[in-house]
Amino acid sequence: MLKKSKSNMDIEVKYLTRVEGHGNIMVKVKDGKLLDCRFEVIESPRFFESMLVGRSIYEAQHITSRICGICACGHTLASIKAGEAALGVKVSKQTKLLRQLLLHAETMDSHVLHFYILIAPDLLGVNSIFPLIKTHRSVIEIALRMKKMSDYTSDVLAGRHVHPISFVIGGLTKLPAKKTLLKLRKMMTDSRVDYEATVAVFKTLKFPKFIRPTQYVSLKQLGTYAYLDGDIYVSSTKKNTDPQKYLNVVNEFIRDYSTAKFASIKDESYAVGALARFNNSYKFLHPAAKKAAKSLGLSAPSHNPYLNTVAQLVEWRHCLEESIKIIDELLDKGLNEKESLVTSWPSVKKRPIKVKPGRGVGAVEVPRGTLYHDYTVDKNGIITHANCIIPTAQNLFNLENDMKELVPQLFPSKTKKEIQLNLEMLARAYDPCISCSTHLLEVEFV
Amino acid sequence: MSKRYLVAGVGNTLRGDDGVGIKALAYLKNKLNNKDFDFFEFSTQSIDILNYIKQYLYTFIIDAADFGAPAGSVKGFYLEDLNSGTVKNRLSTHSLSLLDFLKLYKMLDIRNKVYVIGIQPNNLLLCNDLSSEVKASFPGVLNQITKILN
Repeated sequence: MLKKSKSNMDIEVKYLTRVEGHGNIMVKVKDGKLLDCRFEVIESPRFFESMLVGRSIYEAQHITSRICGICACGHTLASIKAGEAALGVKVSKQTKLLRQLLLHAETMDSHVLHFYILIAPDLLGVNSIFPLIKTHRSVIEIALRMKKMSDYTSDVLAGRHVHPISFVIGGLTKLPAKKTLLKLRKMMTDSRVDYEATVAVFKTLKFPKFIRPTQYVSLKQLGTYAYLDGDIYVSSTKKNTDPQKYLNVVNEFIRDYSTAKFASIKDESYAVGALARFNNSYKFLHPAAKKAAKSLGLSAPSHNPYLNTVAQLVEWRHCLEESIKIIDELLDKGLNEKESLVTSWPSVKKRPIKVKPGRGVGAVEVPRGTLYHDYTVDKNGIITHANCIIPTAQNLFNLENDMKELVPQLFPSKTKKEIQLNLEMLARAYDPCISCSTHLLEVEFV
Repeated sequence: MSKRYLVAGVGNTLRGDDGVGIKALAYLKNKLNNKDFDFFEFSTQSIDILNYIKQYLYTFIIDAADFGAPAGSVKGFYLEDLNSGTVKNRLSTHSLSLLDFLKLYKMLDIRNKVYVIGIQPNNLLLCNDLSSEVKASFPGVLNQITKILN
């Protein structure tokens, strides 16, 4: 619903489309002044943290991977890292490489969904990808091919293309075969052609111009464009913080109109995600990704939140090239079972890991930003407290502040429809993943 | 890809009977000839099935479906027999509805056969067990597959 007079305007976008989950945009302008501007999350809470309490630390990742069908690998790895931090477990370099490869695959998978299926329709002036199948069929086929490659990666590395099964505390329960890695490498090198075609498409598309500098937060690690490890880096203070002390940095708070918590750093909003990583770690991007950024007109730092999508496109190339590099390293050295192979829960007795009480935090960069899992376990490895902070919740405050600055810039010169579209596109640019919930087919026969 | 048939489980195992598609896979794997069948868990990422079905002669999608029957009832239908007329221009990534999926399938001219086997759920609350009625539906799911292939 949308109402506007010369100096008044109400926008109520109920159930924003092309995002995961249910969120509303509410704007109220009266006598030319912006009275209210909200992004309301209206999903039912799912209480995953409560579900974890009383469960073994060894099964935590199988539960938390269900938080999200897109970031299942990210949740799995954050969970495992939190468990390892709590138990004091160290893993081999080979295990870290395999984890990084899995995370890259998931990042590519999620990004391609976002820039092709959720964002491209806005930029091409249609409501969804369905009209694009008629007008841009080859583009949709490229998107599906790119997605197939990353799906396959997760499938062969983690034992399932969604909700990984083989990645556990201390290592993996199964290693990929050499021929599988060779096949994967070929699929990845073949994807370069599709990527170049994608860049050519997006170079022709125009993103809205809007600038609002904010705090950019991501993991940062010297010498690498950090995803799996690193300290929490805040651009405004230029300070690094050990993820184990994330509560010294991140402050969660509640809005009475949202079932998701909001987050702040030093009482101010901040952004996480592809653009934040790009701004904070640009110099560690793969050269091919830097070339793509230049070609797409993206330079660091960028303060236009709409360009988060372009940063995702750039990251896709980085993840691809880094994945090929990891596969080459694994093939050169040969996979060593002793370095990574462990038994799975509940065969805890066979593990060389000593269970002890403790607390640990796992932080990883997932497609939408920094994800934290924080567990406390007792002497039997049973979780007694859990806290998970997802990237979308961290971005909500920043999104609202963007909207509050954008609306006065557009009102009253733009039409109601244009303002609403700009706000919807802004929310979609953050790639919000509001929740994964039950899906139930509602069958209607012809 | 040498196997001719794909059995795809869809659903959320943490939402009671919503996970029937995933949990039926283990039963079917024991009953069907594994030389001919691949079994994949697609969970809540059903858009990915599009890339897979093109590689198989037949794909069987197993999922919870509300068709107003007693809990545990099993009903099979070809994807193209569903009414896609109600699909508007909407598409989300996680909860791709079967009707969205159908529309994509038709628009992309995918000819490979897709047979959906729906099981009427009883309980969709947060838990990881199936209700007894739904658990008892597995032989019915197997019958649907063998009936089609015979």
